Amino acid sequence: MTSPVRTKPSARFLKNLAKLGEPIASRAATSLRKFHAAPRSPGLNFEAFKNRPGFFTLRVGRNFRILLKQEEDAEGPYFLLADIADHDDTYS
Amino acid sequence: MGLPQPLADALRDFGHVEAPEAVDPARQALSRSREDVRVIEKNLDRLKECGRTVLQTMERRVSAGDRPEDLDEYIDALQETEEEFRREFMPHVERDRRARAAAFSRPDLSAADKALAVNLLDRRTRALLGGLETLRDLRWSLMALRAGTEEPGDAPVFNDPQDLLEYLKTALK
Repeated sequence: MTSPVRTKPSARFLKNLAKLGEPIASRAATSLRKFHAAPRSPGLNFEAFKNRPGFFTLRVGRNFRILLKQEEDAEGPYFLLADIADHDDTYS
Repeated sequence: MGLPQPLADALRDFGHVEAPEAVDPARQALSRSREDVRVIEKNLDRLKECGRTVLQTMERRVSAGDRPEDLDEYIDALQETEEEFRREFMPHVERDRRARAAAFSRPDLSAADKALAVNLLDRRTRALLGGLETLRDLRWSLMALRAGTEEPGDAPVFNDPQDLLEYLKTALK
């Protein structure tokens, strides 16, 4: 399957995903599958990180997000899955 | 707490939240509530300012080529504090929302006092949630700053999501 985006999990992302465990790991997998298929799907809330050019976030379930960093290699641009952590959206 | 002193002090002060009395019909109680809300809003402003200072200091250190050892500690401490405040504040927020809804049908409150009570409850809720949002956003800004300083590791770049998910499954075993 050819995806419109390419991704690379960072060591930090893998470490924190392992720490979070289930069910967050499965939800993260669902979000990443959707992201590869259609990065702008409304449910993903893929958006630029405020005041931090090159960084983006992606929603995982209700209260978690993945931090992405735009990178580039010889084949072109890709997103580094930089981190994952809780991000409660009910505050605002 | 693992956070720089001015921010730790601001958090300590912001964390002292008294139970609301904004719908107590007594004038004195309304007046006291108005003062309580002002204190929370003032503490929120101080918390935001201290958060900005911490972030700017860290950004300067990273720009100078430093990889601050205390970044991890700050991120963990901010997460712990946010969780602690969320446990403490959310019951207040829920109670304020119920009180707000009930205030409109209270025959013992004048129209002016209802308006004042609702205003105070709204401002209190905004300030408490604003504190949680400040902690969350500062933590995420520091996470992004950290991500800019770290080695990404040796995982491959994936084009096929199925390959990525297989890789994650194996890596998490």
